[in-house]
Amino acid sequence: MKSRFLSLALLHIKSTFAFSLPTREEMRKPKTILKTVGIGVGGLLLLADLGFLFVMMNLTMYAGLKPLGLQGMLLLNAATTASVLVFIMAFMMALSMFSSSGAESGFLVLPFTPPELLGAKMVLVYFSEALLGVFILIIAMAIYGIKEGPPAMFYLNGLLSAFALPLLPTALAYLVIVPLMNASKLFRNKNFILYVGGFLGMGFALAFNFYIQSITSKFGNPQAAALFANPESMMARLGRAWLPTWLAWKAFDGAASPLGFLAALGNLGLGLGCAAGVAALLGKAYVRSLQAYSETSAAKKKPAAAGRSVFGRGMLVRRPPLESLVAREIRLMNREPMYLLNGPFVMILMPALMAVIFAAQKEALKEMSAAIAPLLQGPGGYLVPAAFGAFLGSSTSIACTAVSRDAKALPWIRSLPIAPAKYFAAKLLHAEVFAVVGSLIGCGAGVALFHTAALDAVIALLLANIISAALNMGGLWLDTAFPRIRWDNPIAAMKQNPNAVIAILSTMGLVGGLVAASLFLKLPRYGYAMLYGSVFMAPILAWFRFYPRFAARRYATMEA
Amino acid sequence: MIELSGISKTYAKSDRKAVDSLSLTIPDGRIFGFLGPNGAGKTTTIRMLCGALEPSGGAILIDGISMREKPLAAKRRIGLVHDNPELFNRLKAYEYLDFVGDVFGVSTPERRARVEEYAARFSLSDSIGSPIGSLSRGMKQKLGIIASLIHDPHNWVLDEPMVGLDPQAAFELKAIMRERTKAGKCVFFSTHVMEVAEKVCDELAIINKGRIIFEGTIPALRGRMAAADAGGAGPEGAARESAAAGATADTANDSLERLFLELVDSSNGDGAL
Repeated sequence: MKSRFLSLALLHIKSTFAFSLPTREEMRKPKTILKTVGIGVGGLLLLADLGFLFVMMNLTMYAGLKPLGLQGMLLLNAATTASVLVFIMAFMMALSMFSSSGAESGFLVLPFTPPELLGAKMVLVYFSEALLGVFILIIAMAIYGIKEGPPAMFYLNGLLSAFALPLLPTALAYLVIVPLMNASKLFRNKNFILYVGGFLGMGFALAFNFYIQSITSKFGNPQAAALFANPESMMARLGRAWLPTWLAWKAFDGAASPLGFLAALGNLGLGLGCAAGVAALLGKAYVRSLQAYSETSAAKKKPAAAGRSVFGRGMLVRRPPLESLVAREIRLMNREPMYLLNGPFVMILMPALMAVIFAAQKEALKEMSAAIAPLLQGPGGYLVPAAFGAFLGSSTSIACTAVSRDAKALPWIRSLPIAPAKYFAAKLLHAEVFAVVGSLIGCGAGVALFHTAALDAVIALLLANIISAALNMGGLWLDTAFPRIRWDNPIAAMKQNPNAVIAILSTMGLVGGLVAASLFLKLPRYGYAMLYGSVFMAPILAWFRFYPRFAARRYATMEA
Repeated sequence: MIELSGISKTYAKSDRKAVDSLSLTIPDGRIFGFLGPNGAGKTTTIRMLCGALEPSGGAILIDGISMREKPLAAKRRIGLVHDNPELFNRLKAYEYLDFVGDVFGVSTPERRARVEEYAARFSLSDSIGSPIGSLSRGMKQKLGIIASLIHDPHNWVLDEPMVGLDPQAAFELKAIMRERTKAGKCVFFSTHVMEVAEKVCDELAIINKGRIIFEGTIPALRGRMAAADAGGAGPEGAARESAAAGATADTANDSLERLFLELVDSSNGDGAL
């Protein structure tokens, strides 16, 4: 029989990381096979991509540090990188998983002690971080191991350290968050938590991107890369100052003697002790905060005075059905943090990400700008801003998740006298409102960056809107044909929706294809605008011709 | 009036008929109850008759208008109280009502008058400006009921409407049902609580495994069971004996429940009575 604590921790892990593999019967269907293989390949690609980055980073650093006899700093750098990443992740995950499913209130009535409840949740947060920590350290260990041939204890010490690194950050995250949850009603608001978590995540993504871009820009220059990890670098100083990282380094460094093993054990002991201490100390406070977490504050209006209408201005006023349908689409998307942050907010996030890349890759981009300067004098002056605008205008995932997001409401919607054409038109209009804004932001950034002339700017904007409209129409068609109808969490309809992935990859492919075609084709200055405008107008016209009938058929037969 | 003629439904991901050749006529001026155990096909039938689900076969007429041929016109004559009030937690109550009002083309004065009346009856006036997510389940149910009446439909269809309602709201709901049938309108509602059906319905139909196993009034149901039982010691016999002995209301309800269970059991074994 497992202990109560272990049972709860395993339940948290299983319910959070539940990957349900298809059954043998399901695997007979080609659609399931394709989907499973696709997800598997996607996962492998992601791992390979991240793995490649860290392998290249470590190899380049090693090449730079070895001549100086400082190759050991590679391990301190890896331990510091892992520590920084798990530290940020610990706070983000502890915050977002504080009461993620509402199941926590159910656990409160079961015979768990408060430290068991908090400890089990800490295990869940720790589990996610440990995966990341091990991934980073194993790559550094493998490279150092192959190049230097350290003793076997080096690997054991390394693994123990990888498992130890996330312990203290997890404990610290809860040491900060539990009192915060108790002190502030604001922090117990689920929406607030979602927004804070979302923005923290984006900030983290931007910072991580900056770090990766800064390193990849030095792949060809081992001396510059070594500066990242030399004894006086920020990473090395950070590593020495943070006890778990310093202990991890000592565990690597002293692998040949028992001291290394002691350092690894000390690291584990320190982390486990702190985590257990926080669980014991703050268990009761955690339970109190959970009890208060689901409090809602319904904004009750004062009853109207006798004879006066209870309705405020703008309430219960007739509007055209299409306007009402579009307003419903916009409200339902923008008021759901999960949808907003992964949808329309991309229009802000993407330019910020580009700014980070520009900042990190300044030198490389200067060279690239010089290389494409002649192109920017020609049609590139409007084509590049148009590409930015088209990408941003079609990257909000509004159209390609429009039907999936509405899945739960479909039976009710279909019982209303709404013509399918109007229903889908509202979805497209919603996407297009944001596409126009996205195109404006994207084109505006391009125009400002390349000092595009007024006429070229107008052409770029037109072209961006045509391309993004075509892509949004394609996305809506895709989600009408293959909507994700059954889901429990909005994240499944948006972020985990394969249609969103297909749409964004198609957008990237098409925009990339256009860039390649522009380099290959030899046309007059505005010939490209004519060609691309016509090419993308064709699917738009075809959409108007064929989609409404297709959508009406699907609308009638979808089984939510 | 709602007429269902031989409607069937087989879901795409199932080889079993959820509803099998079901025929029903729900006349105007009557409260018609639709009973059945969980998974019997009540919600599937309601979704089909409201146009939310396409039947695999059969015909649906709403006041003589074919749901297949003129779906929008047919839907305009229905007000549906959905079985899931947890749909639009991100909208405010009045935004939801406005949406339904706009879709049905209800004028501003009409929708205000109706919302004002029903919100007062269901004690919801103070919450019209609140986000739906901040309302309790019962309040959401009341909001769904108000939305379904915003266009004063001729046919009022309610899927498990009593779930989550407090006694006062349940009383109001039953009163509104009666007012509407008095005005010559049609009320069709599903429930799995026999007691509710007995107190509210003029007529009822019982569905099990997608097939109608009884259609008629409660006295007719008792009579049919008695005929089937031929004076034996079955549930009908018990009901008769209880009535004769002047049994309490609880005992009578209990025997009605057993009557329902017996009917469902017998249909599970050897088909409809």
